[in-house]
Amino acid sequence: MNYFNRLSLKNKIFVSCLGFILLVSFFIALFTRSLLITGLTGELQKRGIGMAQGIADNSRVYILTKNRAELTAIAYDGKLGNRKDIIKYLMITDNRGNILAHTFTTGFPPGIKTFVKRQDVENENITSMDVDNHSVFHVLVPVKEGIYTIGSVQAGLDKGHIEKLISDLRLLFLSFLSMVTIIFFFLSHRLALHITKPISSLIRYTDQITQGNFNILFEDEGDKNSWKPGARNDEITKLTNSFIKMTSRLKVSTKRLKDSQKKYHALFRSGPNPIFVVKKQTFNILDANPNAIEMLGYERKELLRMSLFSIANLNEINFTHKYPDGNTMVISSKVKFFKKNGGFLFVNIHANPSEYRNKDVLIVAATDITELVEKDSQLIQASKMTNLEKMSAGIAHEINQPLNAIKMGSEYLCMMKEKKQTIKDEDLDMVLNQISSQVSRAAEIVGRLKTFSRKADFSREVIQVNDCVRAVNKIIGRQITLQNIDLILDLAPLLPPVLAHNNRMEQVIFNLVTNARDAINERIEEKNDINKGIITLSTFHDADTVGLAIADNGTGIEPKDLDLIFESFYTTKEMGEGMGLGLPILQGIIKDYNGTIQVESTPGNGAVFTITFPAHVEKMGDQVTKGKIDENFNYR
Amino acid sequence: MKKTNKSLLGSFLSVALPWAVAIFLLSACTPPQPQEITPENRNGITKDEILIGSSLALGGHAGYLGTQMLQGARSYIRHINDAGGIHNRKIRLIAMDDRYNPTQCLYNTQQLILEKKVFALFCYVGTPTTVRIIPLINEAQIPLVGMFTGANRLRQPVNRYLINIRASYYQETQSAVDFIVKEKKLNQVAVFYQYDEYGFDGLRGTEIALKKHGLIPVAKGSYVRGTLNIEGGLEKIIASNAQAVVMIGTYDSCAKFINLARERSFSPLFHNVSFVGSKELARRIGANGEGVMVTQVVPPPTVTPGTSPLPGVKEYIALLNASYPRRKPSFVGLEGYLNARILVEGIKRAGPDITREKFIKAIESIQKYDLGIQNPLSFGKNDTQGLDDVYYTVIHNGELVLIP
Repeated sequence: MNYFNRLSLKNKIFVSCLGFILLVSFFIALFTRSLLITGLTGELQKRGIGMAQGIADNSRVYILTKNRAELTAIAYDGKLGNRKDIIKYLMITDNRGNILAHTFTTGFPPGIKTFVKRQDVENENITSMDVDNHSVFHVLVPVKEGIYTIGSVQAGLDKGHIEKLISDLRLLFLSFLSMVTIIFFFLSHRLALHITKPISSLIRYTDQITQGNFNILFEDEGDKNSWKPGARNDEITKLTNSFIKMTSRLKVSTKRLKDSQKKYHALFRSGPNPIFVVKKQTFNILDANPNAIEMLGYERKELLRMSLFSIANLNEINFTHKYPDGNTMVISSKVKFFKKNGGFLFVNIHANPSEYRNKDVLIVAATDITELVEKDSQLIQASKMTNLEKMSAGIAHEINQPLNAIKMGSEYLCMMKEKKQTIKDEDLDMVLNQISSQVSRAAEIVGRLKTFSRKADFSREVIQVNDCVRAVNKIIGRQITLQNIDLILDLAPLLPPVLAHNNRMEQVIFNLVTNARDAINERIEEKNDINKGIITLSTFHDADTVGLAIADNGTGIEPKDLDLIFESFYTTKEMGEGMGLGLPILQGIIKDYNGTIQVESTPGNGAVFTITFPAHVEKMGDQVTKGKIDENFNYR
Repeated sequence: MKKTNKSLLGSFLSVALPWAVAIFLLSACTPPQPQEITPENRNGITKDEILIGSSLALGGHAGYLGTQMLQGARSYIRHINDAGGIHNRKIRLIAMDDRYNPTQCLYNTQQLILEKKVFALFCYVGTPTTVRIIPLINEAQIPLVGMFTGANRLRQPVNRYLINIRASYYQETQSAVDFIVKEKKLNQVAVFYQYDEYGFDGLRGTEIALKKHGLIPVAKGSYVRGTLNIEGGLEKIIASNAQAVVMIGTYDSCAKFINLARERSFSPLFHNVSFVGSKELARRIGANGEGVMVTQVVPPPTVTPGTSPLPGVKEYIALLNASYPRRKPSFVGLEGYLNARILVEGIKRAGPDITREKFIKAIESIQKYDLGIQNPLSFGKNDTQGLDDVYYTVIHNGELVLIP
């Protein structure tokens, strides 16, 4: 069966036809043969009986007259002519089975006399038997005078006669079958060819099309069975016509596709923005346009060996959140891209899932925002400076205290020395300890100033918001308290850490606290309200967020201003008092850390600023790693 | 296209060839009809005897012929047996009377072959009788030596079992016609014949002979075998004013014909063939026999005083006298004697380990055998007739006289 399947269609048709014919012929031969045998045998018997009956009629009178010579003559005459082939022997008997005449010239076959004696001469019958090594039908026909049986004619019909006929017929049949087979051999071959030649042509043409050669000619084969499209009105022609239509359609589509390809290729090539094509899960770079290559300084083939993770700082969790299935997603967090030379730049990322060469990919476009970021940090620095101004008075005041204390202590010691009085040990300890601790305090204040003014590092750290709150409290808390405002710290224990910068976080808290103080002072001044000002700093958390709330009972914010306060250059302060950059900058910083800031306020009743950050899950530090985003958009 | 043709041919051959072979084998598979191989038949041969059978007319319308023949044959056979036989075997001849009746002849012959189990058949008389047993002879493969008939059917087609001695009817009628037309210069020739195969044979022979001279019989008259109803035929022939009548019949019917013709003053040249039984014919026609011609296939069985006798004839007469002293020699008897001579020669030549096959081969080997009748006898593979000469005799004074 395997062999059959491997044949070409042409040979399949050919072999099937041939096989079928042979099978049919074989069965016809078998059938006919059996039919013939039965037919011929019946005919032989009938003929034999007929002859025996003729002989019976002739011998009647001689049986009556017991003329054995005449009976013998009749018997021998019965074997004359073409009867010789059929009649092997003849016997004429009386009604008691005695043989009166016979044709056994050379002698009786063994047992024939007894056989004849035992026969029932009354009834016609046929027995199949062997006489003298010849297969015969022994036929008995009674000779009747009226209703009385006076004798019988018994003849042996030679079966060999039929067998010879049959073998002759068989040979004839076989020759005929062979002829038919030979003829059909050629016929079926031609038939198969006739069917499959157009198909073979079509296969050739299809192959050409596959190779992109659309300019195929339907060649005229030039022979008798020349196949022109539409020459015959059958399925092959229909197939051919459909094929031609398909080819022209295909030609058109291919051209369009090519044109489209060119267009998008052009777009990709000369896009003003860097574009990467990355594999969806591994983020391996599959392609990058020239702009991207230029931006990063790598060579194209180097890029194609890398994953996007090795170029960009992509290991934040928020990457996964902003990645619903299928739709364009803007990931505008400031993503750091590392150049080949070690330098880096900031980009905004737009990513779109797509299919590219049978793979699920992301098309990632990047917009260079390095300048923006720099400007941003410069702004932040500037605002910090502004804050610093506010702080310096406080700081000066703060430092004066420990300095005064140190002065007092050292003056006491000098005085004692001048008076040449012994200082009691415990007094000396106390004074020295005081001096030491005041120096520490002063150093701390200075140190805080230092850290505060320092430009923040770009990489985020794991920090505790509670610590920032406490740090700010240390800087400005005393000052605020001195202004008759209560500063309440309500810090949640076991607060999860967040990814941020300590001094920036402090900046934020510091800024909000000063805003709250200003609001309270405003209330007291304008409304002449002598209610004590309260600023409450509280931290809280739930499963995946960390929150910080700064509440005050200042003047509050008008509803119309609620949305505007985060706009740049919007301020309610007097000219020269503030630039109005505080809150926008704060918002920028908070957004940087993937956090949110919200405000609630009722005019006259103060405001609550609530900041939330995503809780940082314990993992590897703030390193650039090669990683994957798996199917659940979890960073691994 | 050429390439496909070549591969087509190749694949065709690779399929057709085994197929053809298969057919060949299949056809060969049908068993051929087994040849009828009968072992060498040793019927009739015993240590001291060879059994020979004969069915012939010893009674009835042709009884003279059989009787005469048998006497001639038996004379010689007794002579041989008295001398010790051949290879220490004596010849025993069983003769059955069939009264010139073909069915009886058939039945008798079946008896001889099947029951008596004779070695060979011998001295049959008559055309219808002898031709009737041809199937038996062929089936039993038994030789028949010496038939008192010149029938064509016993000679053509050549049958090696039928060993003819005498010349054929065609030869006899040829001679007769030659004599009538050339010697007697007569061309109005009629034919009177027995209405059976013997008569038809003679008629045919006459017609063939006449045709050679550009003639046809002017009249043909016949009679039914076994009857003497010759009148119808006679009328016809008289009416034709034939100058000569070639007669193919038996002695009784021919005698009646000639007598009646003479009564009616119709006297053409009567010409008989040897089967007629010339002596008996002569006896029956008496004075009317003057000038009646009879062709013979053996020389006259008489010793003419003044001429040196033929040795064969002499021996015949002597032996006949020894066995049948009261019988007179006759043409028919001489033929019987000659038949016996050939039979004995054949047995002699076949050797002591005799079989039918050997006997036949022995007969075929007889070449230019001198029977002492100045008529050398030859047989051969395709020649189953020994003698060829035809003699002219004429009845003169009631005696048959040889015309030289």
